[in-house]
Amino acid sequence: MAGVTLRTQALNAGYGRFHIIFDIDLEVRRGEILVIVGPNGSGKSTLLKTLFGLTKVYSGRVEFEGNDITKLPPHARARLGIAYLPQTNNIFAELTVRENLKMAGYKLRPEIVEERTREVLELFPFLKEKLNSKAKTLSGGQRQLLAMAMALIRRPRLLMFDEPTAGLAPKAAKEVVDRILWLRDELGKTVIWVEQNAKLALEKGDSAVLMVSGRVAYAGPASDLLADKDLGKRYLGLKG
Amino acid sequence: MAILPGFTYTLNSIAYAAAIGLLSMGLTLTYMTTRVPNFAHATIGMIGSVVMLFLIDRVFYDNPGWTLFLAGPLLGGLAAAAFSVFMYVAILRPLANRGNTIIGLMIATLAVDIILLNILTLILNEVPGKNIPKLIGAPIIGFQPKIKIGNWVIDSYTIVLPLAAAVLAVAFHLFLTRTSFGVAMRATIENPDLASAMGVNVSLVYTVSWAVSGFLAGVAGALMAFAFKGVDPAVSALIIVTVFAGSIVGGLASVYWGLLGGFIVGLAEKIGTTMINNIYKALFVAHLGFPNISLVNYEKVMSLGLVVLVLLYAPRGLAGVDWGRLASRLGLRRG
Amino acid sequence: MVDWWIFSDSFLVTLLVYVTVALSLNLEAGFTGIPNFGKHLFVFLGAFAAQGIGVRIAAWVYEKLRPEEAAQALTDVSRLVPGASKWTSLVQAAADTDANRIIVNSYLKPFITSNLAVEVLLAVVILAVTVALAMLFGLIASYAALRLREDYLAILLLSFGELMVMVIFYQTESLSGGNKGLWAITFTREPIRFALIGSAILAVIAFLYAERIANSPMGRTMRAVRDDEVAASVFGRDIALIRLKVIMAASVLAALAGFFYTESNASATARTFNRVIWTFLPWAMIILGGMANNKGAIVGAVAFLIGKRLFEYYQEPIGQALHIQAELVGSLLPNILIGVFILVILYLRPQGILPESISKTVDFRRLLEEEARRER
Repeated sequence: MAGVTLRTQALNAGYGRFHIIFDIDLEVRRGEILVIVGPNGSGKSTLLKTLFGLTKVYSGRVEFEGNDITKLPPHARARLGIAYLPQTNNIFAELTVRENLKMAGYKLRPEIVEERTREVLELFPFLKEKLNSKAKTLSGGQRQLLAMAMALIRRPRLLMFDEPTAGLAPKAAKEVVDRILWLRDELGKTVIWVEQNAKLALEKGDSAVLMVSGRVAYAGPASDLLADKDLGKRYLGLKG
Repeated sequence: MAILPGFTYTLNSIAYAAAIGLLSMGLTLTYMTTRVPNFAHATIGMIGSVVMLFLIDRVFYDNPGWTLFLAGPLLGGLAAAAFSVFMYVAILRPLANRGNTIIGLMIATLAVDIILLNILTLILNEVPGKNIPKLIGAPIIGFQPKIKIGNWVIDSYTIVLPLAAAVLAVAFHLFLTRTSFGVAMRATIENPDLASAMGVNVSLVYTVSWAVSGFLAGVAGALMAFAFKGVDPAVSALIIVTVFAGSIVGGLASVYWGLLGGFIVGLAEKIGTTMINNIYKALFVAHLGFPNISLVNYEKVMSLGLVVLVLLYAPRGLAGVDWGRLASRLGLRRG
Repeated sequence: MVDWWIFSDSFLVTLLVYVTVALSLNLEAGFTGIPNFGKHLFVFLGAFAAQGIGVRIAAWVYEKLRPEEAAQALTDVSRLVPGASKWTSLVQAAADTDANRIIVNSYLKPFITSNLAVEVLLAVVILAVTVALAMLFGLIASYAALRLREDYLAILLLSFGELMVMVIFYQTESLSGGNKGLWAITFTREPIRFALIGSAILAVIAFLYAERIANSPMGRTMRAVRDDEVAASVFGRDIALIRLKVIMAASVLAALAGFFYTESNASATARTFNRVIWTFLPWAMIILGGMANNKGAIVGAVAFLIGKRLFEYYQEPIGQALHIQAELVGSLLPNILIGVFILVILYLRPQGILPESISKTVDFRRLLEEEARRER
């Protein structure tokens, strides 16, 4: 179907013998933000890792832009245009910002990396002053933005964030969230966003998936889930 | 009585320290990439010594000169690098893939050490020399070009070895910072998963780290061959203790601190022990009636002592010390 | 055909000694995860007690009980050995590399074997010294073992072992005779029988102790701790004590093994207690037999030693076939083969030939549940 960036069908996955997510069916349309919410340990992060090929898939199917990618290793998915930003360790703290950007374009031709680095620096101007500083000198929010900038060097069409605001001060968190919206609005990217702060995510997202105990408890427009007092109260701690 | 050691002894000590530094640097590198303490590292360095010995016997016997000092370390380094890569690719990597623990891999490096040491010994015993009648234990100190300053005649290896260490350290630093493969190596050391997500061939990075490590060891071994009374691979059994001491003092977390740690431990072993010995002789033996024994034989106590001190007071080694804070606390810097 | 005499009494002692050392290393490495790469030091301690310390104690007793004979001995030796005037007492002369052999074999041994009370007492004292030395060094090793990660610990123990044996004991001629070594104090008129019986009893004790540990709740805890970080944190408070106990026991066993080995050889040289034959070979044995498996350690020890002995026996024909000097065949080739063999075992069966028996290990989840129930 046209317009669908990523789709899963009856996806079962886990780590080794530990089966964690069950019969996942979801769909992300091009240019929208899909938020994945749910209580702690409900399998949100595992689902995201599975979409990037980091877990063991027992059965089911993952399609990216109509192609079956279920069996592809992570680096092959990256090449197809999927970027995965883990919650932590998503940048090289001991490398300078410039080297981080260089690493992001490791497999690209040097002149392309240079050109895209210039573009990315225009989009994230604060990085210009920090080019020769080690990434560990950046603040938590700046690190998330650097990770985003690194992802953009490879021009992905789908970006997947795992709790990008976790542990950030409100101001920094807002900046990161604004950037995620900007990815959709200005660059036309598709985004999958796993978020602990359900209210925030559901307000910003287009569609939503609620995970409970490794299963999809809700899939549909984000606003409907936000309005659903029963589910919201039971699983997301939203006030009725 | 002089406390400080003599000029020639000091030069020899610096050269020894530089060799230990090179070995500690390589040991630290493979530990940082593949997490295996390589107990065969000093013996891999001995490949360099053996190559140097063969070059002298077969090629440079009649006219040893500066070309020997270029060819020896280069070929010795390459031979050692080749073995080091073989050890990683053909032995350690398959063993790790088969599910061996870190202890299993350490045992494997000990096994490689024993195999290599005995093969080198066997070769030097069994292969007849072309010019040197018996290769094992053959002293080669006379084959180095002499440097004369006025009346001083200096063993040239004592100049070349520290120089080689400095050049190799700078070259490796440039490799790590200026080339994209070098940056990828640093990235892989920090976070192999993320690096591989960026498209870095982590396995190739590890292999190259073993090659570099072996090369550094081979260069050190080739030049250090002149320091021994005779070339005998068995000296690696004690050198490895010093090399590990240097790496631990450096912190096993930075190649530069590995180099420096090895250099410090090497110097302490030679010059430190000699100074303590001189003080002991001048004070305790001469005036207090202590037994007249030579403390120089116990130089390894120095390296292990340094390791113990470091593990007690700076468990992450010199690399883990916050030097800025230390300096300001000591009043060396305002801050 | 192999002549049976190549498996002589002294070979049997070596076998039993290695069984003990392998079992003791298995206690440390297999059950508690302490990578003792300095095992050769602990074995050497027993040798040192039998020679360096033993001859001094025996000479001292001799001087006290038979002062005239001792004075005569000192005079005799001074005449036979050049540079002897420097000795002021028989104790000093007994540990000197030049005079040691004559004093031990011509004076001390006849004296000891002629007096049962002295002999028994001396044996008890030297065994006590062995145990005391082992515990002292075990304490030092455990200080590191309780604080360091396993890779650092392995490096430190190897360095410590090399330093003590190859630098302190070997370089200091007055301690253990340096390059020439020292003759040891042996017991009974047939020392080899004494060593055989002693090492047999020791091996049995080592096996029973190791089995008891392996099947005790303590042993199960240790294995859980070794295999799992969560378990390690749950049992954190008990681990230190268990590790200390294990290192102590293993050190004493290894040192006693070294003592009986030296008894069967009647002499010892520090240099021969190197890390290849007394650290690496025992490691090879427990890896072959399967870590944390006591019967496996025994099988490993027996297999390795018989193989090594056969190799030494056939070194001449092998040397001729390979065009290598026979003595090199005996000294170098076995090492190479052992190294290759270890790599092959590590590759084929990372868990050894007889893997850790599952039946006796309690499921670690159940262990945690039990613990939780006790807390409640």
